[in-house]
Amino acid sequence: MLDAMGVAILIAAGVAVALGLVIRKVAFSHSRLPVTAEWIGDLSKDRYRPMLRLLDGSDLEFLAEQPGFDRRMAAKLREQRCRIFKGYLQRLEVDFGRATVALKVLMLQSREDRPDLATALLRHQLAFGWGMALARTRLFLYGWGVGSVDVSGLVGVFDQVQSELRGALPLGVAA
Amino acid sequence: MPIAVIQRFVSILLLVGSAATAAKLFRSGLWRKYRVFSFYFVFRIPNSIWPLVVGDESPVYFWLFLITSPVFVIAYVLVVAELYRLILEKYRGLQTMSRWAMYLATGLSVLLSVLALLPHFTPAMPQSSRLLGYEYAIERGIDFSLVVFILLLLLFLSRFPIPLSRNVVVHAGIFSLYFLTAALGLLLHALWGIRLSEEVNLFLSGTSLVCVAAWLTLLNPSGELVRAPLPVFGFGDEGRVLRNLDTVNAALLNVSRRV
Repeated sequence: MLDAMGVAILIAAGVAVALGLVIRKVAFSHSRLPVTAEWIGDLSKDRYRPMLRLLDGSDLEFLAEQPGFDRRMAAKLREQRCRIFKGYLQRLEVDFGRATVALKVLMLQSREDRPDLATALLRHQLAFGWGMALARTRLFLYGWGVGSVDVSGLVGVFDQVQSELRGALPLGVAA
Repeated sequence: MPIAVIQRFVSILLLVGSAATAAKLFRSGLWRKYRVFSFYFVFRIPNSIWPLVVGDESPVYFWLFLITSPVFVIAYVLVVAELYRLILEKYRGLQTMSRWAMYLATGLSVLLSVLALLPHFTPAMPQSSRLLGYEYAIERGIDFSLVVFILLLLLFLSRFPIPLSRNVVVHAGIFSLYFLTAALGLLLHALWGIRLSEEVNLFLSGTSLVCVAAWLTLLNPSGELVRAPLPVFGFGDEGRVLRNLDTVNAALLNVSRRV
């Protein structure tokens, strides 16, 4: 009986903590979008083109054939590339986040129901979240010399979102 | 001091608190927005009077408790539905998404509360009545599912930059606490039976009193003001247009110089 009560109290405490965190987030969150819409025009998958070949391994294969290139140098090069790639991933995540928040703002301001945006948003967020988790896992393995990282799918999802956003903007808002 | 005396004192405070809260809601005009919630408080007044007048050993007390408890449970569900409607009725663009969120939240909360009811508690202490046992179990399940529903609803809202009024946040927070402690208290009733029913009842009354005091002090007309507005994507951005024109002008001047 005491065990059951202990479990019940633990569950209640857990739910109370979760409620407190969610209420805090809802009460104190602020929209982090810039006031103007100019930044939408800067969203482009071209910014992430270098990511597509940064870790493809062809450079390392070429260098491995060169005299004097050893495993220590390869590890250092992989580490540098990982650091640069992480920066790109973070930037991509920020841009995707801003684009999805902008889409949500457009949904909130719409005078009609937007099931099209709802479906697209849900699909893209799930795909991006999954793609990002995979990319990070593969990046970790790449740091240890295992495999490579292909983010073409991830960049493709971002491209779809920014296209949806441009398409959903009111006429006359530059993008 | 005997528990019965403390219980009576808390019950009187609950009556006064409920009456004061109902009066505040009607006087401030907040009842127009929180209709179900206001009438719930009006209903609390007679429901706080009869336990003070009717002896708790009498069959009348037992049957009045059994009749009024389901009414309260229905009122809780309606108040949570009212909260949900108040937050989302302004945002037509979210109708589909909020409907999905509601179906998911309802399904998950019912599933979790059914799972929570599956363990069959057979307390060593005798229970006062089988009917009461069923009533406690149903109420416990509904209270827990309402907590989970509010939690999931708030989680859904946190994904959108929806500016919420202080009153709505306070309302959701206090009701969550109220349902959670009610569910916990009813679980203690199921575990400990009539042996600790006085202590459990005092715990339930005490948390009700805290919640009523919080509603009385924290809900007011100024809490209806919404914080930072959303950014607007529209035509009014004159600065942006002027900058674009400047850029075009500079480009044209550049071209004309080369020509």
